[in-house]
Amino acid sequence: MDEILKILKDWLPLLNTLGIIAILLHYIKKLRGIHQETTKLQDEHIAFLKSQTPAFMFEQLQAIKSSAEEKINNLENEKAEIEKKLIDAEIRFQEELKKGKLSPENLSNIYKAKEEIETSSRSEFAARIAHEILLPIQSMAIKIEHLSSKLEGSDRAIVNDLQRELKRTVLSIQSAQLSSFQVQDKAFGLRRFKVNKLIMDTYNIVADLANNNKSPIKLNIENDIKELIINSDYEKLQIILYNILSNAIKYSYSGKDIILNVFYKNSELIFEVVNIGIGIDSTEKDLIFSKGYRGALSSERQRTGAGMGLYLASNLTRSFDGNIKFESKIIENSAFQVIVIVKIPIK
Amino acid sequence: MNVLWIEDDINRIRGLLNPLKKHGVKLYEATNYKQAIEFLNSELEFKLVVVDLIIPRGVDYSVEDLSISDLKIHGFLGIEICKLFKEKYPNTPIVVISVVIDDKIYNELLNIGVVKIFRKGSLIPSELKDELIELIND
Repeated sequence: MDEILKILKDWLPLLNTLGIIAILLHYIKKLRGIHQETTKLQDEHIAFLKSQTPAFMFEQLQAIKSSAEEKINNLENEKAEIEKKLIDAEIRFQEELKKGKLSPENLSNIYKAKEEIETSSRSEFAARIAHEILLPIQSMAIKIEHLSSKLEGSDRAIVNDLQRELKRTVLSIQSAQLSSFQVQDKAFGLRRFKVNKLIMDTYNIVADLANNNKSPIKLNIENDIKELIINSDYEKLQIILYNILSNAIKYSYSGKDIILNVFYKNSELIFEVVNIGIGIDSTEKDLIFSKGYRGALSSERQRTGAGMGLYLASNLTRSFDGNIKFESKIIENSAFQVIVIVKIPIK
Repeated sequence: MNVLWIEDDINRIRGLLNPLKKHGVKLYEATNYKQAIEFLNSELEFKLVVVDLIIPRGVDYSVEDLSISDLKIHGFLGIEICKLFKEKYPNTPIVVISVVIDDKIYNELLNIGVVKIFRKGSLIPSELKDELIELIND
């Protein structure tokens, strides 16, 4: 038994780690895209920028890129090492299983040990990864804003595109971070902000994706909601809205509008996203909020994704004492309604 | 107006709080726990304290410790700093800017009396400035 527990202690954290790495690698690829864009930008505008911005900024950008690339390589090496260890450990574990040493009591102990290991390894890994990846991105975001303020016209537009891509990457990484935790706690009033700011910030992040798909997002917000100030968790609400809108863009037919309706009533803030698209079959209604589920039609329609968006949005919504409802007709349309409870600040 | 910023990676993200300087803010920086405590015990009065959660202790530790992650070595020392500043200066607002996204830690911070928590990633200096200036002027 001790030997089995020892083996489990070896390989279970690795398994968790590997799962999280797989998700993160997806986002790291996105990061690479950003680096390429930065290089392209520098190549195309280097002469112009040299006359406009201090030389140190180029050194800084270069340093960020090199450091981020080095970290990505380290992560990939780490992943290869983990995979090798996992295979070795699994072979050892299978050998122990064949010896028939597992009893119900042993199994219960194993699950208990697994739970403890999972909790600690996930938190630590998520915090470490966040530090390795989000910090360089934050550093890049500061420099890009500075760069943007120095540029005009099409040069500025390129930098603003880059800024949006950075924000999307951060939201994706934060989504991956959150999905590695058991999101059970209540959401907090971390900040005071206007509902309209939340909507417009999120809209600005996804609008170009929707436009590229020729399914622009139309906003329908009542005037009194635009001025409504709430005390809530801005980032979590943004992750929910971002995931629901991204999902609608991904599954919309090209040329059809996506509608975002926003309502507020008796502490309930309601986002309703309606799209014309491939829809959801009634047999899938209990599955679409499951972790990793991507929908029966997604692969044949070549929709990409890790199947985490709706799972996470649904989990996060519960932390606001809310819920997500949806109605859909297969190959016609879908309507998702997110209801969250928010507080209105006294002051 | 004095503002204290406790952040170990300050050289990489200094630009985040730079816009405050245009509003008459004098920015003091501590890159580890030890320096933060020196500011806590100094004569300086701060209108705002900005804290990162994962920071080094700033004292010698053994070579053996260096082989494990920063988090294991130092823990969330930023939480301790928030507690100490809140005890000594209950009326000074404390803001946390961190990559950490753990609900349990946020709950602890809000119980201590931290007024705002920002997640590092795509924070925009000009937007952050507006929120911090509002707190300073409150």
